[in-house]
Amino acid sequence: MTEIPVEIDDGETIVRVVKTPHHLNKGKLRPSAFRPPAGESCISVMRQIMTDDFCKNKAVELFGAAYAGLAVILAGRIRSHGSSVVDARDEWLGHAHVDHGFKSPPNEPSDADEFQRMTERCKALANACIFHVDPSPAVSGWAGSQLGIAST
Amino acid sequence: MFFLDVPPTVSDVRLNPPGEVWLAAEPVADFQSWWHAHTQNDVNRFQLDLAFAEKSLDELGDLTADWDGYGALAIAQATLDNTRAVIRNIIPNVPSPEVTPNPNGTVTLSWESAFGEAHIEIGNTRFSFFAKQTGSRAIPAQGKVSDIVPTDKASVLAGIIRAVVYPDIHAAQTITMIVYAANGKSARL
Repeated sequence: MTEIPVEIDDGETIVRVVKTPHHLNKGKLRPSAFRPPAGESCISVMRQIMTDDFCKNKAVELFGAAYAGLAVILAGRIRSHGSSVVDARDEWLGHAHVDHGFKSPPNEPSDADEFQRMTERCKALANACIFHVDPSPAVSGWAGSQLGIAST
Repeated sequence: MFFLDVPPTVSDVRLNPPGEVWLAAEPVADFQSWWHAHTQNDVNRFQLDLAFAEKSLDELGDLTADWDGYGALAIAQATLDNTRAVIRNIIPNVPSPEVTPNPNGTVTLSWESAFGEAHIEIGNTRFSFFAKQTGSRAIPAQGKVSDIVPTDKASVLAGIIRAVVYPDIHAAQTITMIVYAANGKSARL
């Protein structure tokens, strides 16, 4: 697939690659999986509209076959919690950004109000996600249950 | 010294020195009785909680830069030392927290139950904290880590965590040196 719309519909499935087991607790996503790097307000995600196989192969390309799995969430759910999700194809087609609108400084916490906002935002997104462990990380293409979420 | 903001509904949370945290006008004091009963009957619980939390923390020391694949900072030794100190001061009063590294190089300690949640994020020099009873406003606090490492100050946070997250096991550490601001909505600890 080479052509996808720039606009991301609320019913589109967004994929967040989870590399580290530190973002999981007993198979559930931790809110920290949605925290941006220091000094940034955005996290990188993929558009499942590119296909399940694309998302899996891109995850392995970027993070190696030892990645933990793929978290999926509807774009509309991201927006309903206050973050934006926009296409970022200038980096690679299928790439998108989820922007929380606030940042964490390096090596120090934000003030308490901002810390609460970040924690509650990331917790809401983590709770709204479905996390898929890759059953066959060494194999090309996605072999797990379908990543796309049916929007109602 | 750090600052604690008390919600405007003071009856939701009242800090009555010495030794009591009140929530919704219900006393959650008597820490000594609770602690006595639990430590006498289950003397290893505290040591196990501490060992578990410290093991989680040790693992974070092994994280190198970009440990999450998205450019995360390694956890600095100062942050690990601060977190260890907070854990050692808080755990005697509350169960072991969930220990989570953050991409910006800080560490978050979290406690959650059906009653509420509390989180403290610790960095190289500073901390931020909030505790929130389900359906209520949060109680935030922030300041220098060095200000909450002394046992008496850590006990204030522990008392709030216990009162908000674990009210069913009635406990609060002794609370000292609380000075209410003139408007009655903030306290200097």
